[in-house]
Formats: sequence, C-alpha cells, structure tokens
Amino acid sequence: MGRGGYLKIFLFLLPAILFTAIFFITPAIMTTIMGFTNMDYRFQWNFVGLYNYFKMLIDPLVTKIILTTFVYTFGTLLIFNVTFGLILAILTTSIREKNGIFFRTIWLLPRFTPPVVYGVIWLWILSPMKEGLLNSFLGYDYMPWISNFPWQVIIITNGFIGASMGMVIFASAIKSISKDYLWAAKVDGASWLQEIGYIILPMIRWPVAFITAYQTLSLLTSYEYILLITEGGPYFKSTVWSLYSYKVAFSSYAGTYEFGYGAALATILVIVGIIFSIFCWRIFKFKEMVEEPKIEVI
Amino acid sequence: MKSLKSLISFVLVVIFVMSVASFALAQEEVKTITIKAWTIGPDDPSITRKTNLEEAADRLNKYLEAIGANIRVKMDATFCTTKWADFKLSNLLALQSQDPEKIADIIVTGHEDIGPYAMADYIIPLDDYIAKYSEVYEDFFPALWNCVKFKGEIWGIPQDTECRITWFRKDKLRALGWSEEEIANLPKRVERGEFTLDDLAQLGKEMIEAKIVEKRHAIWHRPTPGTDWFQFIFSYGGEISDPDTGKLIVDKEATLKVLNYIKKLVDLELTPDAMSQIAWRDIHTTWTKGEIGIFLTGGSWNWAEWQRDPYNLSEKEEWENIGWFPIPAAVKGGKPVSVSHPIVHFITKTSPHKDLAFLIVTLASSIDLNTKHALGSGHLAIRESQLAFAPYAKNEYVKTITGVLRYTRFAPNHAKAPFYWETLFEAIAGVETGEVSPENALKFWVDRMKSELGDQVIVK
Repeated sequence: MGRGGYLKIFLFLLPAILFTAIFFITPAIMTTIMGFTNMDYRFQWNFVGLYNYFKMLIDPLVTKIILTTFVYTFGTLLIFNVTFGLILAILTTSIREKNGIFFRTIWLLPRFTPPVVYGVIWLWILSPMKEGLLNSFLGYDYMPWISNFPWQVIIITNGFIGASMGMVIFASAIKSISKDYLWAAKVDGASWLQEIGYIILPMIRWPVAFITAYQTLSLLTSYEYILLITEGGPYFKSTVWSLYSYKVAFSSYAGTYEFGYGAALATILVIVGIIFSIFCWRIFKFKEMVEEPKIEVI
Repeated sequence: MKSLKSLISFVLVVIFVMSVASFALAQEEVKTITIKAWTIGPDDPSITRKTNLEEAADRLNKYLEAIGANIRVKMDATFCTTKWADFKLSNLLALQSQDPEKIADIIVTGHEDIGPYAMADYIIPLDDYIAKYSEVYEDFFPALWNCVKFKGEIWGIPQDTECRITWFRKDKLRALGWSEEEIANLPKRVERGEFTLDDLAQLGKEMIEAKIVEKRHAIWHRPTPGTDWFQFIFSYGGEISDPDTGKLIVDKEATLKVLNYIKKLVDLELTPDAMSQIAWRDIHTTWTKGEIGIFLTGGSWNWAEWQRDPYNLSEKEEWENIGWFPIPAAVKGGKPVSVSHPIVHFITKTSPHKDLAFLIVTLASSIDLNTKHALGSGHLAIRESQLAFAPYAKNEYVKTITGVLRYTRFAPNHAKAPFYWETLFEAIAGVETGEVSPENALKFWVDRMKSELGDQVIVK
C-alpha cells in the first residue's frame, strides 16, 4: 500500500482516534497520575509516590470489596447477562416474529428507564416495611431484603438490565443463521433442544464470547444502580470496587473527599480491565473473529 | 467662508453639548451588580434562607436609591432541597474552578465546612467586616460565635441554629395509661436525669408489649450520618474533640456503649435492623401517621416540616400528640444532651463584591427577617434581641423549645469532623443490620480513623 493509502486510512480513523484519545486515554492517564497524589478537597497535586497503593494494601475494606466485586461481576454475568440473555433470545426467536419483538421490547424497558427512576422503583419493591411491594405481595409485615440479601439484590437489579443487551445481540445472531441449517435439522428429526445444542449455540459462539468479554468489563466498572439501591450496604456488603472508588473520591462531605486515593483505586480497575481484555482476546481467539474471511462469496 | 466657519462652530457646539449631556446621562446610569448565593434546606420550609437574602437585597436597593447611588444589586440565589452531600459536592466542584463566574458570592451551609473551606482558601475571615457593623452583630448569642471560629478567626455569620431532640408520641403514652400530668412531667424527668436511655428502651418495649405500636415501630432514628450521633457519645460520657489541641477524640469506651445500645434496640425489636434503608420521607410519613412511639434523633425544624405537604399535621395536632425532650442521659443523675448544627453564611474568596455580599448578609440577619425564618422553619433565634421581638416572643413553640439550648453542644470545626461522623454512622448501621458485632465495628472504626487522621486523632 502506498503512502496515499495509509493517509486515507489515517484520515478515516482520525475521528475515532481523537474521540478515543480525548474521552478514554486522557482520563485514564490523568486518573493514573492523580493516583500518585494525595489530592483532597483542596485539589492540589501533591505527589506522594506509591503511598495510595501501600494504603490499599492495609485498607481493611479491600479484601471484602474484592470478594463482592467478584461475586457481583461473575454472578450477574453468568446468571443474567449471558445465560438469561441467551434464554430470552432463544425463546423470543422461537415464537412468532411479532410476539418475539413484543417480548424483547418489554425486556428492553428497564434499559430505557432513567437509572434514578429504576432505582426508586426497586427501593419501593424492596422496602423493608409492609408497604413495600414485595412484602405486601408476600404478606410480610417486615422483611429487610437489602440487609438480608445484598448480593442477590445487586445481581438481580443489574441483571434485569444487563440481560437485555445479550438478548438483542443473541437474537439478531440467531436470526442471521441460515434457515437451511434449521430446516435440514428438522428433516433429520432433530428436536428443538437438539437444534439449539447442535446448530444455534455453535453458530453464535462469537456473539457469546463478545458479550462475555464486554459485559465483564462493563460490570467491573458499573456501580450506579448499586449506589442508588443499596448504597453499598449493609456495612460494605454490596460495595464493589468501582463504587468504593467513587465513594472515596466523591461521596459525603467536604472533609472526606480523597481524590488521590479514589484515583489510585480506579487505576487498579483500569489495569484489571486491560489485563482481562488481553486475556479475552487470546482465550476467545478474537483475532480469528476479526480476520478477513477465507472464502468470500460474491 | 464665514458661513463655513459658522457651520463648523455650530457643529462643534452641538458636539460639545451632546458630549456633556451624554456624560451627565452616563453619570446617571444605574449599574446593576449581581450577587450570587447558594443556599440549602434541605427541608422545604427553610426556603427563607434564600428568600431572606432576596429580601435583604431589595432593602439594600431601597437604601441605595434613597441616597442616589448609581448601583443596584440583583440577588441570584439557588435553594437546594436534595441532599447535603449533593449540595456540598456541587459547591466544591465549582469552588475548585476558582472562577468568579461559576462561584457564588455567598454560601449558606453547615458550620462544619469552615475548617475545610478555610484551609482550602475558598472563603474569607470576616472579623474586619463584623467590626464595621458591630451594632448588628453584638447581640448574636456568644455560643454561636464559637462555632464559626477557626484558628482564632471568624469565618461565617450564623444564619440559624436549632436543637436536636427526641420526639415522643403523647397519644401512645396515653394509650399506655399515662396521665396527662405524667406525660407533661416526662421531659422534666429527662432534664433531671431520672429518665435515661435505658428507660427509653424500656418504654419502647412496653409500647410493643401493650400492642400500642407494631414490632420494630417503638423507636426509630434518622437513617443517615449526622452530628446527631455525637449526642450519644456525649450521653455515655465521651468526648469527640480535645479543646486544647483541637484534635478529634475517639472515645472507645463511650462509643462501644453507643454501639451496644443500638444493638439492644434491634435485639429487643424496638427498631428495625434495616433502619438505615428506610427513606426519610417514609420515616416522616410513618411518624406523622402515629405509627411510631419515639423518634430518637429529631430536630426542632421537624415541627414546621410536619405541618407542610405531604405530612400536613396541624400545629394543634402536634401540641396534642407530640412532645420532646433532649437526648436522655445514659446513667441516672446524668445530664441530657443536645447538639446544634448552626447554618452559616460564608463570603467566598473569589467574590468580586465582598462588601456588598456582606452587607446583604448583614441585612438578612435583621431581627424581623431572621425571626420570619425561625418561625417558618422551626429554627431558633440567633440574636438575643429576637427573644423580645413580639412575633418570636409570642410563639409558644420556639419559646418552649429554646429551653433545650441549655444542653446544646456543637460539632468541632475540624476539617475531618465529617469523616468522623460518616464513619461512625457506618459502624452504627453495621451493628444495627447485624453485619458486625459492636466490638468489631469499634475496632474497624478505630483503625479507619487512625489510618485517615494519623496524629490528628486521639484514641483513648
């Protein structure tokens, strides 16, 4: 390819490069630099070396938060974002097209709902008092759902939203499978479950791999619904790493803001994200996915 | 030629007259200066924190007009009704920009911000300004000046104060068989140290046993951090700051007793273990519907709050069914306690019109305007002369509740005081939900305080 060709490629990519540099790379670099300061509510860049990272090592909350982050990320991912999303996709593509669209739209509603409204609705559902929707439905005078089941609450509330993305991607992947395969299977006497096991699942493995990787990264950094519904409680039981980073940096009152330590915590998340992305790239063989097809049908 | 000279002369005369006229007109042109203010309730009735500043600006304009001054002020004030934390975060993010366009001239906030804001150079000391208007400021209650001092200087003008109290339902006591005289006598017993925190728990237990209130509806408290929790440390004989060094104190023995008391309330099923998850509005609704026996950590402003939408209690109903006393002593013969959280006016460092902003604050501190705020929002007077001001003196509620002020103490003006009460509440909520034992919660809290404050905390 000549110089002109490379220039064209560069110009085509320029908007995306600028966007990524301004909104992703620059904040990540600034966060990393800030993580080496003890910046507080006075916003002064006092560099303290690795102090925040040593502080992390002796922070009594860190172990608890790592465990919660692990449970939340993989619990939500495996139960909802992948498995439930897949079930919804298979079910809604197995029925009449119109009905399938209707049910998929219903499952997309939580994603369309503003997060605060969604959070308030869940707070009403899970209210510990008898006026709470779940308690009035079950006839309980008192049941502190959030206190008793904090992990389940954050997994379910996030999962109901997360499942819809998997559902949409998987459903479109299933619909793009050539009908010839499914008809051939039917002619050979395959049952519905056999169609799923032998045709659908193998043919949508790329979307499944992509959703697994993408949603893991997304869950690692998401905390808004946890903040709105459980606020990380009770006693840090539902505090995930990203929420802890936010709380340390921004929550509460003037004298308690620790932007430096919060940035260091966020930097760890960036590092984990990068390592996980490389891991997924290799394990799921994404390189094969983005390769040019070996045979092109014109 | 002559006519040309005449024309030039005429033109020059016209230009001269127009210049003089326009100069004179320019002299008359009135310049409007905008003064920005950020204020907060978050309770709705405290809107007078904003409207009093607006009213003060109107008064200032009248005076400026009367003396023929060519400036006027325009008050651009906001009023926050969400959360303290949201208000403080948005203020801080604007303050760090150091851009006068983005920063208010006046900030109305809690006195605990003095330490952090003064250290960050966001606000200015006001001693010299106060000296200019000593006739206004000389009759402010001396105790209020103590809570706006930091490193020997005054950084804020008290806007109001209140007292934090325990509310009780008189109708529930009547249902328990208490006579009117016994009910009326209860606050006096608290003040004499005859009725303690344990007696309060016992009273709650009796209410449940008599089925006057449902289980876990006997004693409720605020679901959030706040200076209120200091009251219990004081009640158990603890201290939170060292007056000599200014350092914060972690009193392990007193704090453990507080945590054990909270555990006791939950174990006896007087308080829900999920108390920290109940929304403020639900708490007030349940209380005003008469479904709770005792509200442990209330404040004088609740009285006005409950009269407004959506609670809509009449003052008559309040006098009939609701009573109050300071937080009872922990031991017989001890003193009850209360904590006040004065709201203050700050003048920001970036304000281009500090004198005008301070003048507006001074006018907003006038007896009539401040009394309007006190009566409308259930807050207390800041000036001694207000006590004799007819509308205040005639108001039975503020007159009576002001008596609690003799037990009042203030939160320290330490930059990390908010960290103290935030993390203290984490421990309280942790014990309450049963996630952690009082001993472990205390140990964990002490570790966090030490790691955050280093030599700025005395652990004893």
